[in-house]
Amino acid sequence: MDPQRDLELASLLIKAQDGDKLAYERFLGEIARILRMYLRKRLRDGDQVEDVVQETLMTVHRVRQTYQPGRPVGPWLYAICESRRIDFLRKVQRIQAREVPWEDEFIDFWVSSDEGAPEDADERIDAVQAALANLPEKQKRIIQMLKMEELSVKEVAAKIGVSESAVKVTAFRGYEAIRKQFKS
Amino acid sequence: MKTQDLIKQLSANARPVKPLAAPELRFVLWMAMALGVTLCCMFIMALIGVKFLGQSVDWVRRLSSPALWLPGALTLLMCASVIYFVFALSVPGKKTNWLGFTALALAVAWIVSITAPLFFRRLAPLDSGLLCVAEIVVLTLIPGIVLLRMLKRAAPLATRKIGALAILGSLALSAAGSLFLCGDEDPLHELVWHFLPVIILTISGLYAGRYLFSYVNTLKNNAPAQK
Repeated sequence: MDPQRDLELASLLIKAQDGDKLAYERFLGEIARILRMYLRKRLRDGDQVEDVVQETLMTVHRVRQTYQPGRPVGPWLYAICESRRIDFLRKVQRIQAREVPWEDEFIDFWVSSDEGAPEDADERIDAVQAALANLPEKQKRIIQMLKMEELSVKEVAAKIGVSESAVKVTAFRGYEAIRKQFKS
Repeated sequence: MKTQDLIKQLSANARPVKPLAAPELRFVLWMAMALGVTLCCMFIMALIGVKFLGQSVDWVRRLSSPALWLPGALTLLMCASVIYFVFALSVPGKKTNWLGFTALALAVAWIVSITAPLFFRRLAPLDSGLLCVAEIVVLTLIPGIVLLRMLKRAAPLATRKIGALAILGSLALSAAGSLFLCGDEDPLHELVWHFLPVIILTISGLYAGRYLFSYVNTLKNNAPAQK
C-alpha cells in the first residue's frame, strides 16, 4: 500500500477508535475499495469477492481495537483479509464436497440411458417434451424457460416473481417427475 | 445486504474502543500473573501435602536435582516462547515467523529432554500418576482462564492454532510446576503423567479453539471493549 495512503487510513482509523463515526464510515468505504482490488486478483467469482469484502469489514469492526496507532494499516488489514479469504474458500469447499450442483441433476437425467428414456437423441427430446406436457403448469414453464429458452435462474426468478431458490426447487421437482414417468 | 448498507450499519453502531496494549506488554503481564499464581498454588498444595497427607519433602534436593530442573527449565522457556507467540499471533499483521521457529525449537528441546532419558536411565515400574495430572489441570485453571480472556480481547483469527498454542503454553507452566510438586525423577513417570497429558490436551485445543474463538467471525453480542 502506498505510504501516503496508509497514513491517511491510519489517521481515519485512529479517529474511528476514538468514536468518530464519520471517519469510520470513510475508513470502511476506502478499505472496501482496496479490498475489492486485492481480492479480484485472488478470487475467480465476482460474487465471492463481495462476500469476502463484507466478511473482512465485519471482522475489522470486531477487532478494530487491535490496530496499534503508529503502525502501518496495510499489514494489519491484509492479514485480516487473507484470514477471511481462506476461511471463506474452506467453507465453499466443504459445501461443494457435500452438495451435488443442481444443474448436474438435469444433465445426468438428460444423458442417462438407464432411466427408461429412449436411446436416440431426437426420440429422447420428443419423449421429454411429452413428459413435460404432463407436468404442473409452473414446473413446465420453469423448465421450458431454463432449458429451451436458456434463461438463467436469476432471469427466470425475476420473470415469474419468485426467489432463485424457489426456481431451483421447482425445476428439480419437475426433473424428478419426468424421471419417474420414464421409469414407469 | 449491499456493502454500502453494511458500512452504514457498522459505522452507525461504532463506539469508542480502547486500543489493545502491545503483545510484548500483554505477554509480560500474563507471565508475571501466571508465575505468581502458580507458585502460590504450588505452595498451598505442598502445604496440604505436608499437613494432611503426611508428606515429607526435601525441597533443597528437589530444586537442585538436574533430572527435575533441566526439563523444568526447558518447559518454562517453552511456555514463555509459546505464550509470546500466541499474543503476537492474535494481532493481525504482526510478523511472527521467528517467534514460531523459536517456540518450535524450544518445544523440540523440551520433547528431547523428556524422552532422551528413557534410553539412558534405568526405568522404574510405572505407578499411578493421576494426582500429577490433577495438579497440572488445577495449576492451569486460573492462568488459562485469564489467557483466554486476554486473547478474546484481541483478534484470534487463526482459531485452531491459537487454541492449541494457548493450551500448550498454559499447561507447560503447570507441568513445570508439577514436576517439582511431584518430585518423581523417573523418566517414564515424567513422560506418561507430565508430558503426555499436556500433548493430549494441546491436541484437543485444535478443536476447542474453533469454538472458543468462533465469536470473532460474528458481530452478535461481540462488541469490542469499550473506552
